[in-house]
Amino acid sequence: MSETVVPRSFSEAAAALAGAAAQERPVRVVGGGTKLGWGGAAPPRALRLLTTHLDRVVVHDDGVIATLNAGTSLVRTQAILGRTGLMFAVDPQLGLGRPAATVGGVVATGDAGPLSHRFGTVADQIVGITVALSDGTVVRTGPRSGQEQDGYDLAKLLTGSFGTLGVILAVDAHVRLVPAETATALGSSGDPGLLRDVVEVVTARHGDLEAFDVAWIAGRGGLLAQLGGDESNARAAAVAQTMRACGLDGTTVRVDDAGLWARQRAGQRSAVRAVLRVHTRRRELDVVLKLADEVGGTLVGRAARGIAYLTLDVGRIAAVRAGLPAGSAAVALDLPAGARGAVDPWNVGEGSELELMRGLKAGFDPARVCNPGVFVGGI
Amino acid sequence: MEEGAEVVARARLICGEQHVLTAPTVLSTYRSDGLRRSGPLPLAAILPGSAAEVAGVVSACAATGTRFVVRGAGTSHSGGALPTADGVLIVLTRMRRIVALDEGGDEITVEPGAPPAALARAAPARWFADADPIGTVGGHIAETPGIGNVCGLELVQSDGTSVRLDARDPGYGITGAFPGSRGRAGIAVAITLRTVSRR
Repeated sequence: MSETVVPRSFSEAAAALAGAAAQERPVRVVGGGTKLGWGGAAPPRALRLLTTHLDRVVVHDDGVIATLNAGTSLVRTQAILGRTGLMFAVDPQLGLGRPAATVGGVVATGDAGPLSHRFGTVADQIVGITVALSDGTVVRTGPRSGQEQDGYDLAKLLTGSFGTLGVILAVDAHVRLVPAETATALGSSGDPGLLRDVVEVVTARHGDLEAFDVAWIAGRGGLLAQLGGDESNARAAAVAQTMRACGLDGTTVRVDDAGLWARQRAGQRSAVRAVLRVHTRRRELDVVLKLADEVGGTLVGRAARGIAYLTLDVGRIAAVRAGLPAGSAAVALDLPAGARGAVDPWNVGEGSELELMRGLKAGFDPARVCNPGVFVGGI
Repeated sequence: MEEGAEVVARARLICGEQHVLTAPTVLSTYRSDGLRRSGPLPLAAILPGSAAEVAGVVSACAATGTRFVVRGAGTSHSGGALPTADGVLIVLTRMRRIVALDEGGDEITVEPGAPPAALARAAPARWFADADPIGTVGGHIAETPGIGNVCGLELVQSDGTSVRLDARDPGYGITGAFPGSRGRAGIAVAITLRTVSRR
């Protein structure tokens, strides 16, 4: 059984990390524990550093930035922000069972959901970060830190770093207004090329979408476009009209749309099959949909961002990677028990890019104690 | 040997005689920035014309132990474009080509010395959310934290080696973290920007 520390302050977390570094003992950072299977395997004797007591949310007086401590669950974060009509515009699936995902886990993995259509990636939401480094120092960056950026923007660099550069303790994040009402336009087709073309038209004509997703299963799929705020129902009807004019079937508008989007988020995770996060150019959506059919997979994703979550059998991952257009990426997120170790989750070859990343790791974490082995190239 | 003579000689072989400036009257053009502050005269202003030439000049600087400051149009207010007396300026304003524009104009790749207006000319139906009207694309990105539409970079690192980065690739989000790095994270010799529709 791994030893576990549960720091109650940033300084306690930094001291625990430095202590582990002094003993050359790897540290596995754990939030809600909902994504521990992602990436490579952590060393078995790693010290578990549990962030869940670092659970504080502070909305600053400007009303646009909040400091979110890493161990705060996303559910609690949104509940606290929601009291004043605000939200952290990051909405991934919050776990395979309990919705236990924490701010730190979501930032560390860069996990996102449908709202990324409007608000961008997790990194786009983060303007500052507080991190413990393996030498025991606590570094805060961003506009609220009073420190000027010197080199890389650390908040962007640490987002999606899988905790391999340091322990994320808190982030300063944009907060957004929760729309008072939403409505979703829907349309379907069995033609991947048509769906690709409709995405182009809807994106060009309707720049006010909160979310714009695609779903695909067994040769048929659809587009979901969510509008929020004033007259969302009428605006969604206009989007549905565009979809209809482009040739989609079954176009309609749903006002009670929460279940639709919950299904989209749920499609990003699987407890029994593999999930590949595929990143292509937007105009390659049809290629990805056809690949999903060829490998017997199901797909949800961000229609206009080139990001898709493909649920499939482990044995078909190689076929997907081989069939994607040049310049695409396919990262294996969920893998069924027993398949870990048989599949490289990252699929990044040796080269100057990986060397640069290894150099960054060595600079931030020379003791190599922060989540070693979980990231690309065994970083 | 006169200070800087070796790096100047190497740079002239790489970039051509006419693109390595050493005359004090000419160098005075490169002493100031957007606030019209004056720095010292550099040893030379070197104007490479390609990524390979930038890599060659940086390698020459590394080999001769010469400090360098990278400069675009010199319009910044941060002091980042000001030279040092014991170093050279690497001036990127000759590198102003549009390298690639993908089908539909979603992404455009430019050299760092391209003026922002060149983006609008190359893709008039697209909008560049973070484009500054003055200076160069490379200078704007190097000096402005938080720019969110950089999705690809080719960097020349301080030892002269090059690396290509794509925001789609798994790994550290270096393309997102690069804006505002003020030359400390490498020299961007090609920059790919994501565009949005101009409605």
